[in-house]
Parts: sequence; structure tokens; C-alpha cells
Amino acid sequence: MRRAALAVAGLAAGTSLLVVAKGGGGAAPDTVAAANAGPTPSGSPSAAAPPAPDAAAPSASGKPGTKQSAKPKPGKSSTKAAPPPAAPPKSNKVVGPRVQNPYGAVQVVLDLDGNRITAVRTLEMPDVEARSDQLSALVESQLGEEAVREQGADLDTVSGATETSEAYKESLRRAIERMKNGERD
Amino acid sequence: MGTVISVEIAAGGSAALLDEVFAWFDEVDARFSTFKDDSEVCRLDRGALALADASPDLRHVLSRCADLWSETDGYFDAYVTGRLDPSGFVKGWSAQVASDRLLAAGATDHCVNAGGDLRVRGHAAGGRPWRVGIRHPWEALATCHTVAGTDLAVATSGVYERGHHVIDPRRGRPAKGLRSVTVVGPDLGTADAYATAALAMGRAGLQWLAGLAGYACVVVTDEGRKLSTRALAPTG
Repeated sequence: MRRAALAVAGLAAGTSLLVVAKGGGGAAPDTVAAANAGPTPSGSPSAAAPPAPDAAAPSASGKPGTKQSAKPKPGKSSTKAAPPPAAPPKSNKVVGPRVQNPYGAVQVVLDLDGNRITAVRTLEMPDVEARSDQLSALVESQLGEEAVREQGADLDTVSGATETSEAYKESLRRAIERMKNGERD
Repeated sequence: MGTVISVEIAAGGSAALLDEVFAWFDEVDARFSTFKDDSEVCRLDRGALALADASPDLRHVLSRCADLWSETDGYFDAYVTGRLDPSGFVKGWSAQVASDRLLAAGATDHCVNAGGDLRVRGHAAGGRPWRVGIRHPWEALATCHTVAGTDLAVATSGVYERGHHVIDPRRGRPAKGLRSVTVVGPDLGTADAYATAALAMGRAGLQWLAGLAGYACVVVTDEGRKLSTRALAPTG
């Protein structure tokens, strides 16, 4: 018997707590509950790491950034000529302000479906610099090199560093405020 | 540890086993948290606990941190903040221990994810080897590389924005050159420490990673170049 179980728990003060339980056999729907683990204790020098705002971002299972395709479903043949047209397009994004920090500017964009945030993207791009040094023979023999690009499909999980930037959170917070005020870009 | 931990058992587990695993992480948090004044780490750091009286787990962690400090030429430094903070090793190590215990208890197919550091064993629920994406440094919802396997530790350290940095412990200033370092190998605590160290080394980390035995890497540089161990051929 194949049994699937998934649980998520947040540790340490100030971390948001997520509990996810997946039923066996894939028949039961996933249930997700989230709660905040409470206030950050005072007196801790590293207490400047509040819960990541994008706890839902690079989460397990599923291809990140996948857009739903608009492919019509094959159905029973009928006399209907065409599927009804999609809802009229509305502006569906909000751009957060550029927030400066000592290392540069950070800016986020919210992609929306109505009032639901479907994606948070970072606009800040890396400085393009000339490659200042040549790779050593050891590096060249062991490592292949190519331009970084989006890649990866049908993933079970994602590895990545935890997002902690204050500037990121600030731009995100203000973008969400603008979204709530009904503003769109 | 200030992180989110998830455990997925694809085959061979039970709810009671999951409870045991999370009890382990609670124990690790109580013992190693730098946020809790009464944790063993904090008590040891302020001199309220003698090393001889520390738990076997804490002594093991301190010993591994000392080994990793030498192995990484001082770039993995549990004292980089001026206080004892072994979190850069504890996160991966505790997930590795959890995975070892799951395997010993018969959960042959599972994935333990501690804040983006992963230990996978066996197969995913679909019956094929686990497919692990590596986060794209500039696109929070995209990945830039895939590794797949039935027995892998995958740890990533990254500087996804210029506001977020790691300190080069030898120069005391933010490291530059590499945006994201992923280390893949048999032990997650070691992979976690290696990834942190290579990021702190900056560009010199490429040379260091290329010379590592038993651990492969995927690195993205500040200029948006991706370098990956040839033996770790991308799988699509």
C-alpha cells in the first residue's frame, strides 16, 4: 500500500507555522492550515527575521511559474460553434515601489487574478558586468557553463535559500496595500 | 532555527512516525535555537553551561563545525556573527538525522525539506526518482536546474537580492561574485555548510567546489552564468 503524508511545521519564534496534511491515494483533497507562532521575543539580536512573506512561493510539488494553458478541453461533440469568449481582459498586475537599500534597489510586481495574488516577481535585475577573470583549468574540467535560464518541469520539490530581505518585504507590503486600494498598473 | 520544515513520506510511513520526526525537530529547536535564551547553544555561549556538561548532540555539532571550519579554510564559521550560531550546519544535519531515522523505521521513500535544504530517498509518490528543482536566483517562482535521484542531499545558499548578503568571515564584509550555490551529495549537514562556505568565498568558491570529492555543485554567478558539475547532467 502506498501511503502519502505531508506535514509542515514552522520552528522558532516569529516563524509562521504551516501544517499541511495530504491524504493517502490522492483521493482526499489537501488541507492547509496556517497560524503564526507568536510574537518575536525581545532581546534577540537576530530577531530581525520575521516570517517570510512568500511562504507559498517556492513550495513543493508543481512547476513554479506555470501558467495555466488556455487549451480547450476535448468534450463531447455538440452543435455549439465555439466556447464562450474569455472574460474581458483587465489589468492584472500591481508594481511595488523601488525600495533602496545599501546594495541597490529592490522592486516587486504582483500578478493578480481578480483580487487573488497568483505570483510575486522581482523586477530587480543583476548588474551586467564583464567577466573579470578566466575560469581555471580545474573548474573548466569539472563544471559545464551556460547562461542561467528558467528550466525545470514536473518537479517534486524545490531547493533554495530562504528569502529574508527587508527591502523585498517592504516593496511587497506596499504592493499589496496598493492592490487592496484597488490600484492596478 | 527560524525555518519551515516539511516531511513527505511517499511509501512505508505512518502518522506516528511523522509525529516522532517532528518531535525530533522540536528537540533540535529547543537545544540549538539562537532565539531562545535557555537553549543549550545560548547557555554555552554565555558561559552558563560547561562543554563537558553539554548534550552529546551539541558536542557532535560543535565538533563537526570545527572540522568544517578547517575543511572550508575558515569560510564556514559558526562564530561569524561574534556569537556561537551553528544554524548553518544544524539545519541540514537535523534534516539528515530525520531522514536516517525515517529510513531505519521503514519509510524507504521520503523527502525532508528544511528551509529549502533537502534530503530525498527512494521514489516520489508517482513512483519515479525524486525530481528536485533549484530556485532561479532572479525569478522567485522559477527554477533554473533540475537534479533527480533516489538518495540525495541537496543544499542551497543564495543571495537573491543585493540587500541580502552573506558575510565573508575572513574579510568581515559581504561576499560578492556568486548568487546561488547548491551542493549535492550524501550528507545534508556537510552539503549545507559547503554551500554557505562557497558563497562566502565569492568567485574563488568555484575553484574550491570543483576540487571537492563526493559532492557536486550548481552555481549561478552575479553575471547570470550557471556552472554545474558535468556528472550532474541536467535532466530537463
